Amino acid sequence: MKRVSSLKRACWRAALAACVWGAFPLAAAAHPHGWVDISVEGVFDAQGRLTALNQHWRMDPLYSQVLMEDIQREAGAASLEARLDALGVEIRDNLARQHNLTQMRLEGRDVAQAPVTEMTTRYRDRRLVFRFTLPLAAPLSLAGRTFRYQVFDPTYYIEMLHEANEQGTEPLPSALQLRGAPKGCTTTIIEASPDPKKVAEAAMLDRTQQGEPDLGRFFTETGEISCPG
Amino acid sequence: MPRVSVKTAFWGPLFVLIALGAVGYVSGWHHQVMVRIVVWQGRLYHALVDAISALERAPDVTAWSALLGVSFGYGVFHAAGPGHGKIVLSTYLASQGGAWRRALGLSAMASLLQGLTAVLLIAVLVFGLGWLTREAMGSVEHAELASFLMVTLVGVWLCWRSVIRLRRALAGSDTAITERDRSISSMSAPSSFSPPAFGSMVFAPSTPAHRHSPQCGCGHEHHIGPDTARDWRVALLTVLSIGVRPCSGAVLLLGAAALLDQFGRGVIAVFAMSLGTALTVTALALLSVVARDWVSRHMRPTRHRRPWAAWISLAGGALILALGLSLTHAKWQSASNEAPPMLGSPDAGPRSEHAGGLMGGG
Repeated sequence: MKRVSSLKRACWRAALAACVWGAFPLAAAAHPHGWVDISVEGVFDAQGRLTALNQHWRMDPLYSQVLMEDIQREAGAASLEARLDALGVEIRDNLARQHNLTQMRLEGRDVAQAPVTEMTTRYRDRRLVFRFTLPLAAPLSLAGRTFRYQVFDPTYYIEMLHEANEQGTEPLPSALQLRGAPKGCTTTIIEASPDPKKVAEAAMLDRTQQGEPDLGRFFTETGEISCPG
Repeated sequence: MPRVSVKTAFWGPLFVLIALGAVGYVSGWHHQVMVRIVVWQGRLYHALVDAISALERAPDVTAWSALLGVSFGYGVFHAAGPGHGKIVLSTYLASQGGAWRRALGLSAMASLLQGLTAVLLIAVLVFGLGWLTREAMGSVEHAELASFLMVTLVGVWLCWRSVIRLRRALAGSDTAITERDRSISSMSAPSSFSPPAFGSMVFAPSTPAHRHSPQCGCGHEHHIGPDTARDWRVALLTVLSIGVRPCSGAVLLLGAAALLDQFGRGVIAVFAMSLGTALTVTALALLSVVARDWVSRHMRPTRHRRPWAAWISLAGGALILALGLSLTHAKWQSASNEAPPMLGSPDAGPRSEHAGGLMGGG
């Protein structure tokens, strides 16, 4: 009984940390102290409507190790896989409170999301990989329109960018793919181009009001899916 | 000495600096710089973690040089950002006096100590006490609080010392000085003049009254004398107050190294990082010494040097005290605020449980 509760607590702790990257309180400066390499897959239904975004998050090596150390320290009967799953549940619950760090828009209007489904957590090549499906509240026809999404940590403690080439200069084509999309749909990943003045303003404003400035939105990439009308 | 040239030499460069600053400000140049710095810091962090994990996969020359290079660069660059250590050190040097050699020594010592603290912190907590690496890295919080408290102490000490000096200097202008006064502080040297000579120095600095007697400390930096021992104690406390807070980059590097079973290599990289930090901090320290010397050289003809130096010293002490107090206060607040929701810093409960569990199981 005690073992179970201590495992639970460890998971809760680890997952909370995963969510806010609060494990290293070195965040005195407003620059990222961890990163996640993301890839996204837009899923379409038989009618050619966008129904969900499959997301694939690869935690950075250091953070992956930190979480693994936590999990492995909690020696118990549960297999590694079961413990990873428990961690995944906690991560999911924490993300749910922050819109899964995902913002979706269609022609400038917010697109509502449904609760996350099909979540898995795995440890591969010394990286913790968290994969989940984020359904849209209702299927969305993209005919003649452009759908945009951003995945970011508002506090910019974690930098979340699409999987990129070795030099980190270009996002890989595999970082944004479509499944079952109507013919002619295209995808683009747009690099962030922060307006220095706005960043400075946000930094000043937030610092006086609540401590850490929320700079994440300025440094995030935008994924675009456009379909012919 | 012709007054006009002194004024030009003082105000000329100052105007150029102010003009450059104004142009930069109007054109939004400082915003650009800020954004660049945020981006670069993120990239450096990325490169650092990549380098240490690359070394684990293939410890060849390329991986080594990448790790040492990035660590050194991180040290140089990260030290260039705003940090209380640099403010404390340069304020101390600018206001308390000190030759370039002392500036060099103090800044190098502070930088290396920051690296050493990080090594000791991780080594003792993770390998000695069996803490989780995450918890050990989180304990930087406590080291920070200790550092801020020590900064406050340095401020109090400096203020107190300056006040004593000022009182002596002021008292010395209308009372005869005693042998004791002279022996206690070389900085209170103006009191070694008789009152009329003191007065003439204030209003006509280049009169023959300005002579160097054996007891006279005026006009030059004197760092030998009965005051030196106490002086070095403050200097040491200053270095400690900075050094007790481990370099965050070093903690990060060592945490990653410990998790990847590369701790020894991590320590080597931390020394490369400390060298980089020392380079930047030393440059800043020397700059503050040069600036102070420049100002005092140009101010000397128009003002009496000694009370001036003591006032500067008091102002510097007050600045460090204010910094220490505000940092301590901010740390205190953030620690009590973020504990439950963020769970950033491991609280005492689970930590001791972990340590106990390990010992019981082992």
